[in-house]
Amino acid sequence: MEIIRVENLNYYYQDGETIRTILKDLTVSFEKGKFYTILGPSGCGKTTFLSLLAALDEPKSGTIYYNDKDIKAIGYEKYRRNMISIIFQSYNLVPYMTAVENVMIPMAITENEIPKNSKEVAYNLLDYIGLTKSKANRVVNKLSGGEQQRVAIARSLASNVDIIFADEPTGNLDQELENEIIGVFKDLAHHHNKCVIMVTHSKEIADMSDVSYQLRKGVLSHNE
Amino acid sequence: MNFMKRAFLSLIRRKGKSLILLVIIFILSNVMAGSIAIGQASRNVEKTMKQQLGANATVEMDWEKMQNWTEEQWQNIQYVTPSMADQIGALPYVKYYDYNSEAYINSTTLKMYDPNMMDQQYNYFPLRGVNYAPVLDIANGTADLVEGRVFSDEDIAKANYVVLISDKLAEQNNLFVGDIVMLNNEIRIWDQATNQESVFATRDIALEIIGIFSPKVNTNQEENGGWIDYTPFNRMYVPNGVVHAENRWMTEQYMIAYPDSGITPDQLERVYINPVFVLNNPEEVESFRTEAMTYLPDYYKVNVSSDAYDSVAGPIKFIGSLSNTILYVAIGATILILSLVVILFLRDRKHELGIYLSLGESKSKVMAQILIEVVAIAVLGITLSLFTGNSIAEATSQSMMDLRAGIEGDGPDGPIYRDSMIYNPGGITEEDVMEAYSIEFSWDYVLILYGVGVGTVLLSSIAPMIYILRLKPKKIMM
Repeated sequence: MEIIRVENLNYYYQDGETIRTILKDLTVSFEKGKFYTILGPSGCGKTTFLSLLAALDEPKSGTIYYNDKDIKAIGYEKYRRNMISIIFQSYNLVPYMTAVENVMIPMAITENEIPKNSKEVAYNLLDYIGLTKSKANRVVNKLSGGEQQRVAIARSLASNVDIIFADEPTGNLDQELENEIIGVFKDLAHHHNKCVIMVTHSKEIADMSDVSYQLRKGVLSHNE
Repeated sequence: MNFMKRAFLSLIRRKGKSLILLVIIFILSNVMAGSIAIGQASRNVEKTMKQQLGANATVEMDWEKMQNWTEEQWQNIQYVTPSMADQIGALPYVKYYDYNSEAYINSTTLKMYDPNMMDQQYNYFPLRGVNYAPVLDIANGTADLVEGRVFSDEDIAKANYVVLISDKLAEQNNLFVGDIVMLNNEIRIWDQATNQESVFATRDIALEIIGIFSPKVNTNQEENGGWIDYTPFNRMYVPNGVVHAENRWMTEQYMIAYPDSGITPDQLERVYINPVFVLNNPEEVESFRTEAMTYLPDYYKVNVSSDAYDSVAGPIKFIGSLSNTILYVAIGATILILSLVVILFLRDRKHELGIYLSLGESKSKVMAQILIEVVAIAVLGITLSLFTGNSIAEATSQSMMDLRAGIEGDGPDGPIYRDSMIYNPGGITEEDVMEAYSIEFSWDYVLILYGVGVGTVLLSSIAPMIYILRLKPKKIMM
């Protein structure tokens, strides 16, 4: 079931009179229940594409539809608040808060229905991604990189959205942790009917996804 | 974890930053609190002293406007007439009024009261004519009636020969209520042939004592700079008609004694009066001044008793004005310093703000969170400075007064009205004003400090808020 569709998406950087095309007429759609990867070398525009899908930036032309509604019409802020969540390579957690407090942040921001016992829900989410309660109560900068990334994944699940974007989330982790996290993404897609779209430069990770796209010279193509 | 909870967590978990902000706000608030306390104290002195002085107005010629007058203008000069005084007295601002005419009458039987004066040949007593029967000086408290009564309306209307004298004068001359005081209205002329003064005409004036008053005069020689004015003890209050009659008789005798003097018969009817108006409300002084001037020639001016405060309040006004300047500078400095510090702190928290924005938090709520944090610390800083600022104000007030004393001593310009004939019934001095000055911990002070303090902090938050508005989550996060 298609949840997000991109039509004729264009993006470029302008430096004086020089125009550097990043994305050229991209048209693609994503479905719920699948784990997608977007593969490409550094600087090919993967992160830019993800930032456009996540409404952190605005395309120069083209349209992104969420459930057939233009996300611009929905409102970028509202779209980020209620329809998607993002996992960053560098975790981006609030450093002076505990893991559970970090997970609770989007629960207060989203307008989606969240159970009243939000703290319990946060603990459960952390437990689901493999963080014990004692670690959940630690200030996040006292946790390891892998644990911090787990907190970031739990946080992305807290607002109960259908789409999860991940920007090279395993870039700073070792192989074992990488495999664990990819396992979580697959589980989220296959057992929780989420649409997980992950940007990576790793062919191995791309091979583990349900659908993999290759971004090269601004053009998106199926990765065979 | 809504924005208010986040603000609370930030305040308690980022203790170092919160403490730095608290110290900065506390220091700046102390300057503001001190200035506000000093400003309040000087305003309170003004209010108290002006209330003490009451709202009494007098009319006098404005000599500055008359400096370049022609002889013709001087010849056609108009004096304030009783009818002008009545018109001004009918204004709604006036509670009651009086106008006085003066005469100086000799007595061969009475001795003037002045403990330092030797016996002298002539004793010219100041007779103050009264139109307001309860006698203005007694009504406004500059003298107390200690025996007998004040004038009746009939005494005034019929110009009865009755008099009020001071307790000291009565004691010195063994006089009591009901006694008759004898004065001699006499015209003395200088005979150039014999080179001697002689009495040209004389007539006895018999005044019945109806009341004895005690003027409130400070007779402490040290406090008065070694000089005491005993005029209030020798002053006699009589109905205006008595003064007019005696002045008229004197003018008639001069016309006879000096036929070529140029005194015309119409001058016999001329009455010189000094009106005094007691107003209902000291705050209506300026309205009264404006309306009263419409009944007076333009070379007159209206002096108000509260002007007397201005003439002696130099140091307090200096302190008040200096404290205002310091307050404005402190507000400016606070806005600048706090804006910069908060922006610096926000730059440190750029990633945190980016996280909220990437999660879809509205910029208004992110701004609200920062505002709550800053205002919460500000309220704490201001609360602490309420007490310390008050103490600072007390400590610095004296230094500021000393500074003013130094400026006054060195500079050519002292208080500008010091020599003016301002009606000053309470006789307030610079010392009275300084004594009335005190730094108080009042509700007004608390409310003004919170208002100014929080207002300044809010103004300081404008630049940091603009910084948040300009944040782009993609640039921060990816």
